[in-house]
Amino acid sequence: MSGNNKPSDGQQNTTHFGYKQVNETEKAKLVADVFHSVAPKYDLMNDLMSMGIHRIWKRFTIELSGVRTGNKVLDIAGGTGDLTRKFANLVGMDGQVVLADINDSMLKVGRDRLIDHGICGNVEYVQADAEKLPFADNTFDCITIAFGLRNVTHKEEALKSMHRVLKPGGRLLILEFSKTNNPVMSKMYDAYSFTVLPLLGKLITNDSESYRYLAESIRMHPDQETLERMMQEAGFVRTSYHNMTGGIVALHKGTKP
Amino acid sequence: MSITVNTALQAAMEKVVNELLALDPLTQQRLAQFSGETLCIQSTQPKLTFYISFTLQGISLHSHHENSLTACLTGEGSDLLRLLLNKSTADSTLGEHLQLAGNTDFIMAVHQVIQESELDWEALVARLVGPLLAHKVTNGLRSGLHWLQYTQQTLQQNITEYLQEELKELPPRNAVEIFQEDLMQLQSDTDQLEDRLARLQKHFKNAPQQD
Repeated sequence: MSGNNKPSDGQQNTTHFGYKQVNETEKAKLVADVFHSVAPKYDLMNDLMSMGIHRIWKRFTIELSGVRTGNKVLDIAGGTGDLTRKFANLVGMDGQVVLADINDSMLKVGRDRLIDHGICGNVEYVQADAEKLPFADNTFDCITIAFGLRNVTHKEEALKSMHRVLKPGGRLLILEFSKTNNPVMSKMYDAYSFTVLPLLGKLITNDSESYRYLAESIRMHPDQETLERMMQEAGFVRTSYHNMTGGIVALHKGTKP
Repeated sequence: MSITVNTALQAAMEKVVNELLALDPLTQQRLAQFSGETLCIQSTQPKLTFYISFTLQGISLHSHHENSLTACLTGEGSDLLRLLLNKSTADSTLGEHLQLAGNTDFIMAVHQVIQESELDWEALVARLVGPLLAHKVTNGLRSGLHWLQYTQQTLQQNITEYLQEELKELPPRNAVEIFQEDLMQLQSDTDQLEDRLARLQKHFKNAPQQD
């Protein structure tokens, strides 16, 4: 369930971009434009939008990763490198972390930031599409994708690609916005997403549209159960998820058999 | 407790401990020798489990750990806290309430480092609120803790005396001990009597019968 529509005769495949339906080929460019626009102030915006809670969500992701010295980790849609930084410390100089992002602006910001923090030697930077990961089969002990999957056009393809490059026994962790079941929280969250987020985007990055897309894309993303089922269909076993902050964010975990 | 709150508390605690350790380089250096080791702390009351991983820079706290553990310490929250705060090694009652598993030498070594540390809480608070207020705050906390400890001891003593002396619901400790000793003596005497009777029975059975 990636929201893609199969074409009727003579029509192109369409998919959602926020609440809009666009051609599949167009989505990648539109998403890229969003992230080119927000890249320079991405960290500041993350802190402002989540009130710093995104650090807690990422910390829990690291805890559940079980990554240890010598492991090879792939951080897809790693953006400005929050997870990569922690993983680089965990795997040590015997291990390796690959920070992958489809967007070169985000990758540049991430690389500069990590080098500024003295993280080098065990980190590689790769511009890659999550649907067609340019790595050999059975390469990584752990793959994470934090707040990136909802921007991928063909989520099933991406999950299969991640499954392919994971080692048997390796685990995939997907940290992503999800659905809250609490009606009060849901109303507050909607109000916040569609009024405060675009306003913050306008004030900080002078780009309210990108943050409107962010709010819309969250609503279009599969809910917890659907995403878990998609992981199972891609071949992952022992799948589970943890709701955080009332289900606003969920961390899905699966293992390659 | 929700995952977010739990993780946030751990992150805050980890930050405070590491900042304290940064103010005490000797303790930081001594703890660095345990780098790579993980200690599991299990509180039975309140029910809480967390893991302390030692690093070169300090510690990291987490609620999930899937790699091997060096040791595990289990007990009630209050006893675990007493172990952490107690500077005296003479508290023999503490050991009765705590369970150690795994490498116990490691636990003892960590405990010794903590006991010998001079973590300066006041300096940490001073960095946040200034030295004058920090002194007042930490003095207030120290007095509060002392008062709590004193009140707890007095309350415990008063309840014990009330139940034993006023209501006579519970016997005093020495009466129970004397009763236990009497009971042991009675058991010993009974055993001896039983042996003597058995010997007598055997004696009469083996003795030649006289007409």
